[in-house]
This record gives sequence, C-alpha cells and structure tokens, in this order.
Amino acid sequence: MNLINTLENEYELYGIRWKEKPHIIMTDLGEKRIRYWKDYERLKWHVKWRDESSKGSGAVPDRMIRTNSGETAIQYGEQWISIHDHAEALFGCDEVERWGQFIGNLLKCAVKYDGKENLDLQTELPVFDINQCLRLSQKYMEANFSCITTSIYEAKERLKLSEAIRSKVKDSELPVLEREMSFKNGKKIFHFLFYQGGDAWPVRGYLPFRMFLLEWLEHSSPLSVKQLLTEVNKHFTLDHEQGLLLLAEIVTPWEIYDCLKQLDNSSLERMVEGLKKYEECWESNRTLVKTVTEWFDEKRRKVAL
Amino acid sequence: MTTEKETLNYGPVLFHYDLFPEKLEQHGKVKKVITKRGTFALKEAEMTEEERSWFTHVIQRLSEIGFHQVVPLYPTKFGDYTVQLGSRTYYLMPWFASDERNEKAKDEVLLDHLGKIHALTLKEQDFSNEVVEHSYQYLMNRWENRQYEMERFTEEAEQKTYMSPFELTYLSHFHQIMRMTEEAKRRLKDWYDTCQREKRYRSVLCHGKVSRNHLIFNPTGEGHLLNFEKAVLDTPVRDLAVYFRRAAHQREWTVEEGKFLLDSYEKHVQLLNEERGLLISYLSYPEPVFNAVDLYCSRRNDYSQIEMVHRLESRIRAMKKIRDFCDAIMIAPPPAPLDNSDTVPTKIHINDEGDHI
Repeated sequence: MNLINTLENEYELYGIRWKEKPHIIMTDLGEKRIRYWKDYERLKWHVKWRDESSKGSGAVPDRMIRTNSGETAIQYGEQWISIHDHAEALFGCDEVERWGQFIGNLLKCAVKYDGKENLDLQTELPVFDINQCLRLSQKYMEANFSCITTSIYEAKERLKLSEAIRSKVKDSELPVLEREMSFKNGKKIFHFLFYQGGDAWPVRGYLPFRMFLLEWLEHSSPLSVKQLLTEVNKHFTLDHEQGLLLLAEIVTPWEIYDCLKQLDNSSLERMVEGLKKYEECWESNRTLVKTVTEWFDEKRRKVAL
Repeated sequence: MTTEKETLNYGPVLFHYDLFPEKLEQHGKVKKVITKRGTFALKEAEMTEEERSWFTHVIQRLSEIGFHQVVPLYPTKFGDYTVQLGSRTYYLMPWFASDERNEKAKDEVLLDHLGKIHALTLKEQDFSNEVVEHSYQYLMNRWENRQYEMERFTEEAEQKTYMSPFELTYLSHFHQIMRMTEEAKRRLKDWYDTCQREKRYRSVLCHGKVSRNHLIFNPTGEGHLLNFEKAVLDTPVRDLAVYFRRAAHQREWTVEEGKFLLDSYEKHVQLLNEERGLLISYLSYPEPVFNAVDLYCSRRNDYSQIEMVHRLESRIRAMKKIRDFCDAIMIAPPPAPLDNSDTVPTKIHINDEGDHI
C-alpha cells in the first residue's frame, strides 16, 4: 500500500495528495507536514516536548496529529511517520510577549524533562574547544591582523568568565532542547504563534537558545532582545541557576568557530572579504553578549533597589 | 453576528479541532460554532489541571460503565478532550438544537438519568468514622454559624424604630424559618447517629450541578446530560437536594409532581431510611431564605425594597412547598435490602479522599 493510502486509512484526513513530496501534503483540512523517524526514542522525545510545552500556552508547537486509534505516529516499513500542521506565513518578532511565553514554557519543560527518565535518549553536550580555535587561527596570527588577535584574546577572557560562572552552578540541571531553535520556525495561524519544530537529536544546554537570541538580534534590536528576556523570565525564571547557565553559554565565544571559517587566504581579495565577514560576525555576537549581560545587570540592579 | 476579532479570539482554540468558523453565536455560557464541517457547541470554563483530568475521566468512565446519555466531548486532533488557553479551559461538543416539544418531559428524563448514573456508580463505602465525623461536624458548624448570623440580623432589625418592609417580612416569618433550621439540624443528627450505629453509608457519582438547563435533547428526542464540570463522588442525596430545592422555586411545581419524580428516581436507587432523612435535612435548611437576607445586606442599593421583598416572599413560599414535600416523603417505604448486588453494576473508580457529604 502506498503512503498516501496508508495515511488515509490511519488518519481522519481525506483527499490527501502530495504538495511537495516527500514532506508536504494537501488534505481536506489544509496542508500538513510529514516527518520521518528512523529512531523511536527520538520520536518519543519530540512528542513529549511538543505536548508538554503546549500546555497553557497561547502558542502552539506543531504537535503530532493523532491517528484514528490515538497514536502519535504510524510505523511505515522500517521507519515511523508522524503528521503535523504546516504553515508558511512568518510570525515575525514584533509580538515579544507571545514569544516570551512560548520560550518560557519550552525552557520549563526542557529542564523538567531533561532526558534523565529516558536513558536511551542520545543528547549531545556541546563543549567549546579553545585549542582547536588556536590551531585554526595560528596561520593568521603571524600576519598580525588586529581583529583576529583582539578577538582571540577576548575569546580567552570570555571563556575564563564562562567557566567561572559554570563552576558556581555545576550541579544544576541543563535543559534539553531542540538542536535548532529559530525565530523563522515561528509561523502565524489566526494571529497566534505556531512553532514548527524539527526532528534532530536534542542537545543539552543553552546553545540553541543562544543561537535563537543571536538570530533575534539580527532581525530586531538590542532593546527587543532585552524585552524578550524579560518576557521569558515571567514564565521561566532566569533569576537563579538557570539564568547563570544561560549567561555562561552566552559568554562562551562560540562564534569564533564561525568567524575563523570565514577566512580564506587563497587570494588577497578573498582574505580581505573573509576578514570583513569575520569582523561582522564577531561584532554581532559581541553585541549579543553585551545586550544579555546588560539585561542581567539591569535585573540585578532592580532587585537591589 | 461573528466579528473578525471574535474569530481570531477563538481561533487558537478551534485550531485544535481543525475548525474554521463561519459564524459564532453566544448561547449562555456556550458558543455555537457554525462551520463547513457542521455545528458545534464550545464551552468555556475555569478548571484546574486536576479538575480537567477528573472531568474527562468522568465522561469517559460513564461511557465505559454503559451510560451513554451524556453529550460527548470531541477530542482535539492531538487527542486531548479539553483545550487550555491561559486560565481558561474549553471543550467541544455536538450542537443539539433545543426542542420545546420535550420541555414538559424534561424533569422526568432528568431524574431518570440521574437515577441511572447513581445506580451504575453506587458503592457501599467502607465505614470511616473520620469521614462521617468530618462531614457531620463541617455541615453542622456551617449551619450553626449561618443561623447565628440570621439571629443577629433579626436582633438588629428588632432594635430599629422603623423597620424596612424587607425586615418586617423577614421577622414575621422568623420563627417558622428557625423551626425549619432546627428540623434540618435534628435530621442531620439522626443521619449521623444512624451512620454510627449501622456503620454504613453509600456514595454515587453526583452530577454536582443538576439543572434542567443541563439536559438537552438530540435530534431523535433522546435526552442527554451535560456539564459534568462539578461532578463529585458523594451521597446520592446531594444531587436530589439540589434538584428539588431548585424545582420548588418554580411557580407551577407541586408536591405531587415532586413525589412522582422521586418515585421514578427510586426505581433505580431506592433510598435508605437514613438517606431519606438526610434529603429532608438538606431540603429543610432554609439556605435560600438566608441568601435573600445576605443579598439584602450586601446589595440593598442595587434593588428596590419591593424587589427584595418579592424575592424573600418567593423563597419563603418555596420553603413551605418543600416542607410539604418533606412531609409527603417522610412516610418511608419498607427499608431496602442492603445487599442489592444484582442491581448494582460496575462501580466507578472511587477516590475516597474526595468523599464528603
């Protein structure tokens, strides 16, 4: 039996046809997305975060549409298939409150269900490797480009700070999050925030949220980043250990990898262009670090007052 | 008419059902949702997480034990029976248009359905002195405190040179009201003593908010109950007391009709003598009259004296009808055999902690 027939048998959906094979289908209830899962444990984790983070939130993640018998997915050959809602229109970053509520709920669930209960869950804990950066930057250091030497120096200092923060909260649980958190995944349906999740193995820690904040900053302003953090804080407190863990992740100079990747000394022209991109990448991350640390400082001052 | 704003407000809820409303109409606490896929009733309520899960458990359990005259809940596309949005909870049901032809039969069907639910969920509880003691003391204290408040109101009124028409009306019935209060307390004490002596009490699944408005007829004329949000495991008398107290306030309600309806209920669950006594106790307590006094004290500027007096008189009239009804049902039939396991089918899950009277 082909996939379309199987879906029609298993789900309360009619008139199914391909829109974009093999991921998007048209049905009598609109466009739906198909996700393919090779690993059942990964599917289970994705069901859980979607279900849990939707509770009480005005935002809706793309939960698994249930089959006729109430299952979250169907087995098809050697893989599992789940069906989700699908939308195209971007939600944008104007409605900070809604994003804040959604991310707050998401983080709450990500810390609560940190994968402990599921020993088979593969989670990666990204660790920053300064030595690898130093090796990569070696050949450029000799040329004494000021942006590189300054950034490497700053990266070392930030890493020290990050490690110092982490050592204070080393016993705290890290959240388990989707590998890719992007504001582009936020779509608009009926004016509410519909978040289209992914299907990769999750990662442990705040790196996905750091990437999200950087992307947010690129599309808005430092003030908007601060507003977003304030809204998140209403639903998931960043006042204590979790705030420090986030700060440690923000301060960690992850961007140095990306900066170094921009460099290409195969020709002078490419080298100049690479250095320009290096500076841009470094500066935007620097703004993020400055904005987030400022937000934490402002919050501390308010508490002190 | 549906405004675009309304559609957007309810959009996040209806999205869970893949419904796109063409029209939304407000009918009491329910929204009528008209879509290409049919017409639905969307109920908005305030429930805690625990209440939500108990509510859906009750609906599912009723179906499992064979009671199908409940307005079903539609699951969302994600398999949930309720949608939570902020502090609000929503659930979706089929829309049944009201059918005035069935209005007359409503009370009979309502009591018949209650009887069926009670019979299906009837459970002889293991005697717990703690539960009985707590229930008795709690209610007795509450009643005595209320009685004390009313006596104080009376004393204050009596000290006035010129009493208001409301106060005058209340005072002219005061002794009769107090007699009913004492009768309610005496009956409650009798129930408590019998429980202690017999070491028994029964619980059923109570609807919790029995009302004619919570019975509707489907297109084939079959009555269905709805609004189980306040459902609770308690004595069968709880639902009966709520029903009869409310019914007695209808102008056309008669003692004969009440007697007939209680008989039809008892075709399903024969009340034990002490339960009958408890029903009389609940009904005798003049809470509706006390509530009218409360309203007079707290909001006398919102209503005219004549409105307040009318309200009080109507409640006193209803209490008189209730007293006659209690006299009529006091002639107890022979006690029902306790071990009626043949007539008691599958039991609902009982949460003993939630039991109270």
